[in-house]
Amino acid sequence: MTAVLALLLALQSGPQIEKVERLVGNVNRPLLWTPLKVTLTSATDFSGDVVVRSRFGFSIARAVTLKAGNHESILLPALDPDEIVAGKATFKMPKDFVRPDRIVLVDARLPYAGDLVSTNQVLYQKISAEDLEKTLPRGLLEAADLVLVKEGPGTLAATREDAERALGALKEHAPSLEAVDGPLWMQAPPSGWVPAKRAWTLFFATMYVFAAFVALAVIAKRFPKFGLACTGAVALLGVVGYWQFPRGQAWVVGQAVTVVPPAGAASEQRTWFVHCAKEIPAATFEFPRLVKPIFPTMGGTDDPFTLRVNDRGSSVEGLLLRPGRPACFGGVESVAASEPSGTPALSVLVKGGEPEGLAAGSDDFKTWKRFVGRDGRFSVAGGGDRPAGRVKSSDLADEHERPPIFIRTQP
Amino acid sequence: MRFPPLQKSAALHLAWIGGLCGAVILMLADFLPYRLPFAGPDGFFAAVLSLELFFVLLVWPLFVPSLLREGIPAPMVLIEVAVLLLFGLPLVLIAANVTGVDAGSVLRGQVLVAALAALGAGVAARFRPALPWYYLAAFWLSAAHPFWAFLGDQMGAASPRISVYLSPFWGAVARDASPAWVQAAVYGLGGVALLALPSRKAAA
Repeated sequence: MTAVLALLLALQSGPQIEKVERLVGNVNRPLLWTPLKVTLTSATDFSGDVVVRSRFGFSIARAVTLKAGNHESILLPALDPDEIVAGKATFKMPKDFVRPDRIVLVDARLPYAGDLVSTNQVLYQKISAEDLEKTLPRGLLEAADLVLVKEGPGTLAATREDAERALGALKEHAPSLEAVDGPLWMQAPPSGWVPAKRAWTLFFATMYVFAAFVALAVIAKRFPKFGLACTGAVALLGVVGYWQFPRGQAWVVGQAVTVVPPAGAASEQRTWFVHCAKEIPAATFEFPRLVKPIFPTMGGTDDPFTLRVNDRGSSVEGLLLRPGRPACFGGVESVAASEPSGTPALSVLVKGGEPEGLAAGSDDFKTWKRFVGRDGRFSVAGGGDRPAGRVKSSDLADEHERPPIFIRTQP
Repeated sequence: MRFPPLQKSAALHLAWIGGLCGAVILMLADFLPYRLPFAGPDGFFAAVLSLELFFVLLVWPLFVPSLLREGIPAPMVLIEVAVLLLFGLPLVLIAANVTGVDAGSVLRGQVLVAALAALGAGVAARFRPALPWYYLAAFWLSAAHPFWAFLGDQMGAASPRISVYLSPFWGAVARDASPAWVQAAVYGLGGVALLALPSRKAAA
């Protein structure tokens, strides 16, 4: 009897997944964030990860600490989730999707929130102010067509009439970074040398030969008694040169795209291509914001990795990088709209869906034109790549950013 | 034995550093209208190692007689070889990092360079009139054997399997470590033995 009880207790130990809710409703938008609210309970103390396994082949993890007997609800970003794992507990995500034309998230504080009834065309999904605050600024509600709020970022709709007006004015779904983006991958930088290593090797070779000439052919010849010291100094210069050489095998090329809508806050879409010159079996990269992997095809990845999220940024762990096979990550954040000064290197005006100018054929415009919409202006800042230091990794030798892109959309 | 006056070997040191660095600059600075296929990160270590081998096989023996004229005993010429390796080490280590080769491969390559330098020094010090034959042999082993093997690979011509154990450049960049070690042992011992021989003047 005691043994049976012990066995039952052992089976019950660890967290149990009590409930899983999709914050944007049971909709299938696999390329966009569909955050989940996972409620956990545990008979014993638990400290570990809650992991969402995506059908794209990677996982999203969040650390959680749970006291015995407590319930805890955590928000987890998800991209086409397949199952959720917490300790030994597993929850398979159902596929009972509804297929509305529009998804409208409604701030639960709004007085009419309970009166809205979903139809086949419009899905109304209530969301608490707390969840709204945690998800909207991080771009996690991008699957929704409209977010009606009482205050703060989103569409302010104090009355039901305001809400209906906003719904009636809706055009296309607002563009956002998607988990599969073929045109973006056309922008992937070529593989080969780590740029910093190439530049440093060239710099070192030039300085080394110059210093050797000055030391051995000028100083040692003029002051023979310092000849041996000059020889030693050249050797020392070589040692110092190697000491300063960037040793990491990975490099990152980033680009920021600021999108300024006619009304509301501007957003900054930022992408990072991660390259390597030599295979790195399990690289870790820390990003300053929540990022999603962006794949070239719907096949996702065959080499699983973990995207670890916290309240602010995110990190990618266990990423297998091979030469010639980069990875791409992207994330969005609200920013203050500020158009870059100076003459743009490339500018395209779009009127009624028709781009004007020769630059309309550029790869940059083709990649980002869906963000411009039917009327707007697209410009790429002048100048070349600039060094950056946003991404952290022990394998990183170099990070630089391409000239930023600025998009102003018009109503 | 007298320690060689290193400061008097400025021409040698400059030729070594200038040759290595100049070739690296040519490979990387996009002076040419196209990018050299062997100048990519995958082949950079092999390129730098080949540059070192080229120098010690073909250029270094020409400097040996002038070093001996300074009155340095022939075996002490090996000190100069060590200094050359020290000067070249930063570039070799950078190349090793770029290509991602391990310390064992770096050591193997440098031992082979030292061994071939010893052989070249030995021939130049003890059998100077035989230097043209040395160059002919170096050409034959370095170029003809790999070409012969290439023909064998492409056209089915029979080529000796031992070629990789004879050809310095091929042995240095071969995936298998044994050809480089065998060459280093054979050429190195040969070179040291030649340098240890009494000079013909002294013998006379």
